[in-house]
Amino acid sequence: MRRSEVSLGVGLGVMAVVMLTGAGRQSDVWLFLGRFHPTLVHLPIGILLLAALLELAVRTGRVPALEPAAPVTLYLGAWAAIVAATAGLFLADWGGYPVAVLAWHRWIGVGVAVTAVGLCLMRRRAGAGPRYAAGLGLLSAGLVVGGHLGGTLTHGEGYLSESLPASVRRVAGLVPKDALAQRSIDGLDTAAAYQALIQPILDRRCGACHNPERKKGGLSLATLEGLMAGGKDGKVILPGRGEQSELIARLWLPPGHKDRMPPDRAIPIAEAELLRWWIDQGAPAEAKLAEIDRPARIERVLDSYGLSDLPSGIFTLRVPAPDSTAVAAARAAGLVLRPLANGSHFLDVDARGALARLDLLRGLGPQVAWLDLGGTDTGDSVAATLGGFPHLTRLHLERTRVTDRTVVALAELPYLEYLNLYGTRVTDAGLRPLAGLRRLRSLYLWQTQATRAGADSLKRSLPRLAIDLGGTVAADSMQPAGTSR
Amino acid sequence: MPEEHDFEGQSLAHVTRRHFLEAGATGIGATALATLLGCDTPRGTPVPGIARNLLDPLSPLAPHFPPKAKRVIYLHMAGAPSQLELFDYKPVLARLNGQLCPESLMKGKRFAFIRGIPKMLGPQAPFNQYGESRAWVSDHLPHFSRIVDDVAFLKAMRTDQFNHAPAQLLVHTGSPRIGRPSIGAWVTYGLGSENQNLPAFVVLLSGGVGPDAGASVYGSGFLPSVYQGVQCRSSGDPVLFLSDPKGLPRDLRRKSLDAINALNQREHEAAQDPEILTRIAQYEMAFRMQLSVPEAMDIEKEPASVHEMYGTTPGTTSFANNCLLARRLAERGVRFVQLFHWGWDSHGASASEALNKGFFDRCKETDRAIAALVTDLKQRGLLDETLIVWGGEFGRTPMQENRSGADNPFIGRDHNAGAFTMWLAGGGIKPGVTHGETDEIGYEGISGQTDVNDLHATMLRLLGFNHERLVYRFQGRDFRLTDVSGKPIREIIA
Repeated sequence: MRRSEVSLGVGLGVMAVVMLTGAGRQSDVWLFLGRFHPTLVHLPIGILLLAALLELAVRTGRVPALEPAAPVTLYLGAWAAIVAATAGLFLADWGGYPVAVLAWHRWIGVGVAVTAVGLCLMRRRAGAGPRYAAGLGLLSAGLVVGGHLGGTLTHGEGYLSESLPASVRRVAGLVPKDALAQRSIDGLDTAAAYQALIQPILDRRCGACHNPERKKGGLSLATLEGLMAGGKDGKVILPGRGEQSELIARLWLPPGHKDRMPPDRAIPIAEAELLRWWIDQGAPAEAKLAEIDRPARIERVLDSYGLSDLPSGIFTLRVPAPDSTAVAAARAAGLVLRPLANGSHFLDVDARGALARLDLLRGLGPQVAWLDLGGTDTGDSVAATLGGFPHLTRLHLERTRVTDRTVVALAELPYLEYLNLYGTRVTDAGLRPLAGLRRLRSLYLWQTQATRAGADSLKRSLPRLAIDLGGTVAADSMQPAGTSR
Repeated sequence: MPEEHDFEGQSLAHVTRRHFLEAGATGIGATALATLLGCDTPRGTPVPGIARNLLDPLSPLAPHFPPKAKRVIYLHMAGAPSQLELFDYKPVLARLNGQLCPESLMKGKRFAFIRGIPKMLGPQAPFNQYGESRAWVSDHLPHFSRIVDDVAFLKAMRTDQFNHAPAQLLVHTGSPRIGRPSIGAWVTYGLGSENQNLPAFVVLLSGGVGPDAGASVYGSGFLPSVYQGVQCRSSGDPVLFLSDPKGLPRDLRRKSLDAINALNQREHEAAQDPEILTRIAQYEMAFRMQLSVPEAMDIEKEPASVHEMYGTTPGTTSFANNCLLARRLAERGVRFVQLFHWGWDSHGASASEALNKGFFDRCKETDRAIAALVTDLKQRGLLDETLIVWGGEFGRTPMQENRSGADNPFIGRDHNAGAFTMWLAGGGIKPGVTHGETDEIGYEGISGQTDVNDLHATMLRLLGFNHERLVYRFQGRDFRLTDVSGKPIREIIA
């Protein structure tokens, strides 16, 4: 056995020791060596691929003169692989990388080093036979796959495919880029804050160490139960008190502090704000984004994630595109129809100019969201028709002949947010059926027979409803609340 | 000159057919590659503009996302009312009243009239807190004090223009120079009109003087001129030159219009100038307006209680009449109503410009009508979908103006671009909040500062637009109201 072969064996041995002694070696010296991994790793990739190319050039008979260069290159490459893999093991110990990708990357990296050494020996003993060639092919594949995984660890998932032209992405069956930004959130009142925002942050920033397998400090942050249970030092979350919660407090410790989390890379401020906000809101498990108070600061964070204009109410529903002939017919009759937004199938319909010809909208039932019948000669006969518009959110019936009988029918419109009944013959009794409309926010009753008492009674069922009985300017002047000069 | 010609000739002489083929081939190759790779949009999402058919310039269009406001009533107080006498209460300034202004406050500042060292001037009105929001309002606005819980204040607005015309242009067109479309024009371009019988963008003037920057503050700039504001009057003919001359029956008017339109159509087919389409559309609208405008502008039939509420006198030109008209136009689906009320330039150089005289009158002329407008829209269920904006073009200094170094005969303040107050109400605005704060003397904003681009971005946002995507291509590039800046003011959006 030659000296060079012995030294390769020793190198492999050192690598094995580093691998087996494993985690817990959290000293700056080792991390310092580990940080050379991203640089050193380019050497085995280049040298070993060069070795494969040299063999190819020799075996195809194109440049036979290169024959002596091939084994030397392979030998150098094997050494480079051992050194790079060892450095990589130091870096991996430090944590902070996604577990699954890291495991694959580690085994492929170590595998490449071992294979390279094996091929070295094989080349010397048995020459460049078919098994050697197959081994070299496998090695090259390992370099490519392992290298890509390394890139994923450093730059994050999807770094490479992200910048592909849209057409190639489509061919490759990748999700369009917009969808990446939207993640799994489809609507403010369907997405739970914890599920949609908080757990993904914990997975990404804490999951490498605080998962059910590693459970550093006895803490697993992979599930809500683990998060609430805390670690061996106690609870990490005090619902309603984000600032005092350990999970937040540790984010703000100075770099290098032994309790700082995550230890090496700081969590982005936007994500820290989201975590704190969620805890301040009582760390709710199920609450939807729409149900939690979102201060301007959080809206701005949601903005930056492209989540600010999330739909709610009817906008989380899918309705078919409005029938174009029905739209054209309604327009020809003088109704003003307009989509609520670009690309939305919901319609804003102003029927005031066409004497409320609601029959023209029969084919557009699911699409009509806003409907203005104000000032038309609409009477209680409309009650039967309104049920055909299940997605109505804004309804103008002011200054029409409708009475309490129509209001009963309105109780069947679950998405109603705005209802204008001023100048109608609606009474207190007519208001009662509205108590079930949980989304109703604005109700206008000026110049009706409804009274303050009736309005107050409805408000007890719907505390978030604003009821306007009108005439406030004529009221007695308000007393100034505070005085100063 | 001859040398240049010579040079041009020489360089052209060296361009051969081979150069052309070479350049052409590379160009075609690169174009083909770009198409193959789908590099039509280099980065990020494609930018869908507004698909506006100029044959039908005022047809209703959908904005980018579902709107919170469907229309706007903009109350511009031309001349810049003093925030220190209305909303921005500064007790410290009262204590400093009469003291000489420290030189440090004057350094690096430009004033329209102040020269030398002026005296500090305390608030010229008692202030009280009102409503559940505990907003400070001066005694000049007894009616407004009842609606404070409906409005959102921007207390630290700032601008970079300290003279009226450019500042008014900035606040209405997003640029201090003439040539850009006004916000009313942008909104009408983007949304069209729900009422094809009335102008989509109506302008009502009061106070005796028009805006300093002229009609450009409600002009259409480089947008087709169909989007410019139409000035209506609350006395006499509502729109000048709209009525037919005596002896011209309506059917004859129709026939002559048809003939003119046919000629214009032929001209358009030959010249392809969109302005010809604008002209056809304008003629047609004018014909419809001959019937609809007098009806909409006639406030005489409003009940006495409404006149009492607004303080209106039919047949006169007044801000109050214009407020009532604004409500009537909003009810009829007019997209943008722009009111100008002149006379707030309280320098103290004359009685009408004095904080202790003319300013009182301006407050009296506007206070009751504004409170009535907000309340009336609210009880009719229209405030929910109508955005109201109130403000001037800049603020006023905490120092008393000393024109050419000597105190003015009346009490007044100079222009201050550093801080002024605006308020918004209705359509999507969070009621009863105050955003932004000025320093102890109301000279500059110290937190929550917002500028005109932010205001415009907020207004467009409430109308359903992403202000970065409401663009119009002109002279080879996309223009937008907010140019290269502006952020919707989250703090005042409900």
